[in-house]
Amino acid sequence: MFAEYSFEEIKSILIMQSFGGLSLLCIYVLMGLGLYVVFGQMGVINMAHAEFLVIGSYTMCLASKFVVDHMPTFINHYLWIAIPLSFGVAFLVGWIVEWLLISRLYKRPLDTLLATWGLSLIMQQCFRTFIGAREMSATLPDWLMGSWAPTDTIDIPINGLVILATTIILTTGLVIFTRKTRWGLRMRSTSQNRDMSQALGINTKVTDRFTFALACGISGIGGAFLTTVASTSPTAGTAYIVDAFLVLVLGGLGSLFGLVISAGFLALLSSILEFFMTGSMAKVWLYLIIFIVLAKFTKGLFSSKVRT
Amino acid sequence: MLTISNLKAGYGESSVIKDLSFTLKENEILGVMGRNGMGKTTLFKSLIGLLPAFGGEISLDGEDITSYATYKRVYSGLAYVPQGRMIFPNLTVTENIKIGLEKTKAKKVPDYIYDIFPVLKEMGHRKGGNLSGGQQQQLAIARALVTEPKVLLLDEPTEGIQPSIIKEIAQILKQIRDMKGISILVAEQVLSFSLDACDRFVVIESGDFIHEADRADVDPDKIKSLLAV
Ligand SMILES: Nc1ncnc2c1ncn2[C@@H]1O[C@H](COP(=O)(O)OP(=O)(O)OP(=O)(O)O)[C@@H](O)[C@H]1O
Ligand SMILES: [Mg+2]
Repeated sequence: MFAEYSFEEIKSILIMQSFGGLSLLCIYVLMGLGLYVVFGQMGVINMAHAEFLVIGSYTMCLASKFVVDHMPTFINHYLWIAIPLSFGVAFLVGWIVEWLLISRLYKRPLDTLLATWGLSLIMQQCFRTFIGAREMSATLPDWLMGSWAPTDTIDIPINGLVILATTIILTTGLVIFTRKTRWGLRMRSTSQNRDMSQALGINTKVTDRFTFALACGISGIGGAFLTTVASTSPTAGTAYIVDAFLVLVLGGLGSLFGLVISAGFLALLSSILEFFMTGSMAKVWLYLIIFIVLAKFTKGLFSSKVRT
Repeated sequence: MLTISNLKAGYGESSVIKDLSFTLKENEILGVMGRNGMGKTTLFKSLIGLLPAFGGEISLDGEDITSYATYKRVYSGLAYVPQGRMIFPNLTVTENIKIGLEKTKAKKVPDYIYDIFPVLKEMGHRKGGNLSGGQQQQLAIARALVTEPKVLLLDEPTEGIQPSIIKEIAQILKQIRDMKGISILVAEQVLSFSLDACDRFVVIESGDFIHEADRADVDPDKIKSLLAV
């Protein structure tokens, strides 16, 4: 089937396909990162996680709409404000949600599951009521939708490069933040031993609130970038939540390295499967293979070895 | 320095500390001796606030801290070395100490810590969970000390530690007290350690002090008989 292509062209196709896979990996990481922080640092399973992605997407869409309507000359640059804004809005909502809901349920994991699921429905209804039921897309600057052609036959989409850069910055930033800053130390000590952290002067309630809000903010950034590959609607989150959980569970729950590897595994698997069959059939096979992997490695591929 | 009046504490329905009053004096090392299950840990946990008191009053250097959250008590000047040490196993030795710097917001572990506990400097990059029991005990004390407390609470620092190190810990406590001018409340079952380290002794039984003695007029045999099962 490759007979009509030259060697040079096959090489280019390979490079572009690999880059496509890498972009998909990044999207999986962006979808799973916030979930990972909340689960890994706090042991909370946030069923409303995907709605925080959607908050980021909506922030992006509304920011672009505002720019198009009121200051069209700014269209090429508004991203640099819309992305921090997506973080900020999701962070703020996360802060409030932790304060009103999550903080009251820490010792009751099943109730938390139910409550955050209810929260996801409430958030979806809020999107519908306050923003509208119709699908929405962000008007993205032309430069972002363009492509970069290092040779005649290779075409690398710019948005893929931006997503790649964002993913790298976010994950390494998160690692540096948790390892090197006082907030990071507070987060880690609180997740390991809440009582002892308090007995050393840490306000664990504020730490929890900050951790949850930070995870939501990260999801907000992820959501902002999802607008470059998908449109946004009140129920857009339902399409993300399964994938986000897959990445997390497959990665061994609570290991960032595992998260990235499992995102890569998922991206590779779904690219291969989608090459051979229709999208929905590919999803079926994808889930099937993952169930088999999980049955074999009950703790995911990369569970942390050191335990308290 | 630390005054406890009519303290009541326990777990849910069961009350362990029923009505306890005592004072820890300035610069004093007070040993709380008692057999297993007599309420030492319960007392310490309610002092640091991890176990809410049912009633009574705790006052530290004139400040009523009874209603304070645990982390606020640390800011007021209490520090806590729990039974079993509770080192953060996945954090390095240095990180474990740095958590104690939350209160002073210092960036660097103060040098005097490494003068007292040189081993913690050597092992700075090791995971807390990989230290020996004796090293963990030193780490737990160091971590409490960097909060710059007025009163240090130590719950059974000798548990599971070999006799030569126990002697060393007794020396270290006296050294810390002299250097920092703090008061220390230490729960113990090992009489030789208490005789080494403490200025005053009380024996706790079923949540109440049944015997008290100063260093000058302590009768070791009497305490031994009270500690015997
Ligand atoms: N979490 C708990 N819930 C209910 N009861 C408890 C709990 N912890 C301890 N107790 C009870 O409280 C009483 C006092 O226990 P405490 O741990 O204070 O004793 P202790 O003097 O520290 O003993 P040890 O020397 O073994 O550490 C015991 O009767 C114990 O069974
Ligand atoms: Mg005890």
